[in-house]
Amino acid sequence: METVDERVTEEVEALEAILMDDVSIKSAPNGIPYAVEAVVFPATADDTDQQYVRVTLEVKLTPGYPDNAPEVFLRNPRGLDDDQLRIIMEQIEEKCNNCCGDPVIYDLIELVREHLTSSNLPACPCTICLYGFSEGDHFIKTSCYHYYHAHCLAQHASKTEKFFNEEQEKLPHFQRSKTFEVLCPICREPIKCDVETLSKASLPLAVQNASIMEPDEKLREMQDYMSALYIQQKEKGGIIDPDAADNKVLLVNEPYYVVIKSVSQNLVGSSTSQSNCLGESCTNSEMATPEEEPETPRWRQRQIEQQERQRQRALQQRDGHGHGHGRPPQQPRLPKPPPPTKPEEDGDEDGVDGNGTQRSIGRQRRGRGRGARLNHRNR
Amino acid sequence: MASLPRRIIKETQRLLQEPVPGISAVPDENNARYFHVIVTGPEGSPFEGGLFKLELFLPEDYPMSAPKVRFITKIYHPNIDRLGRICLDILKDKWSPALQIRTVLLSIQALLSAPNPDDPLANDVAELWRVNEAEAIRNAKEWTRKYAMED
Repeated sequence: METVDERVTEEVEALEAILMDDVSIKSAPNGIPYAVEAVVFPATADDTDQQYVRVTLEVKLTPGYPDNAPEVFLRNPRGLDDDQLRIIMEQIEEKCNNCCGDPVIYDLIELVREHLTSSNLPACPCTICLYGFSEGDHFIKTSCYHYYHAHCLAQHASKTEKFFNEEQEKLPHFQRSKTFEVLCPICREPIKCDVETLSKASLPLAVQNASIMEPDEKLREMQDYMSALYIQQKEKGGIIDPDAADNKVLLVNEPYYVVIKSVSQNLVGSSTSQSNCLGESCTNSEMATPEEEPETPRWRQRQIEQQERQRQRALQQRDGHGHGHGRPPQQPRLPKPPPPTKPEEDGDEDGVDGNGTQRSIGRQRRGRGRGARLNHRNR
Repeated sequence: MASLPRRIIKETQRLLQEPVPGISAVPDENNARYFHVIVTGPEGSPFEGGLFKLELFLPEDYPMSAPKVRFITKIYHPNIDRLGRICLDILKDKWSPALQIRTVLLSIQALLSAPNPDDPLANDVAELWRVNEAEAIRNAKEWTRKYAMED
């Protein structure tokens, strides 16, 4: 039968009496305590809003404790950077080694608390702008203990709310049940914040004072390597050629509406001059997963509108400045046989599988690849 | 250059100074929002040994919107279609501004290690991956050797 060191029993009892809910004792089924865990906050006279950092201290009671040093871990740190954690850890080890034979846990908790009290400002950068918190910045601590500049969080909140509302509008009324919540960018927990107040905050100071970057030799070397590899893979036929792919006609599956989309070759020229949209807006639509589209009732409507726009654009080809939607010109066209390319892909990508049903192969790409690259350069 | 958000500058600097092993991302000389990317095929995957080129574009409201990414090098993978488009939730509705270029590229590299034929983007590939995984893996290796390996 294992016996418990009396000093351990006494220490554990004392900890529970002093710290109450702030400490949790883990015991084996036979009642012998094997670990003590405490979430430590800075001393702020119980004003939790002013506690910007925290860490969980876990002390494992090794068999020989307190004659041997316990094993100590710092877990779930919030607002502390690696340097601070390392310094705290060093002091903990020193303390343990100096106090062999004496109960040490309460002292460890106090040591950590003193440390947190003296550095009660989040040391980690704001994960939205990647800059730190300076004296004078307006920042937020979420209930999940993550930190953001008010300015940054406001942008996130308004952007996600806009996205949420757009998504809701696509749903029929009876499905619009959810109410909008701002989610923590780091852990996706719902957080409470007043967007209106937040958005009044000014730009974080570190962001205002940041320097800009000058390309150096190393960057140029890497750029050269990238182009060399591109050329090499191109020669081997290893580069995806959106132009060749466009000769194939892909059918987009819609329960009630099948669209045949392809691109008129004579529009390629005009699409390359749409410098404004190619980079982002195009990719916006292009990158939408095919499976996302069928669930939007507005889809068909947009499709029709878009085709109408494209028809008009085709009429005035020289007007290359596609704005807004940025989808490159597309025109409905009759299917034509795919050109001989990769045999592995053919036959299937025509959009008709073995069962003769159309599958969704989101087909919106045009004018990317080389064309897009040129456009980026032209800006 | 002047209007380039600080966050993009910061990310770019870090990508160059502390590159992620197996991943390089270099801004285009004329457009700092357009990145040339190389992701190496993960060890133990059919893509091992391959150098896959991708293009990555940071939209106007990045980081509030996800970067646009696609493969440029041909790749045989159930979640990547013929045009190199990638089926990955964090590039769509699960985007968070706490993610970065480096975390996105790491996720894409992880996708190479863990193909998911049940959530396909390239249907023919996914189908083969489901019914005859050995052959699909052979194809993936063959494509990697043919298109993505340096001479």
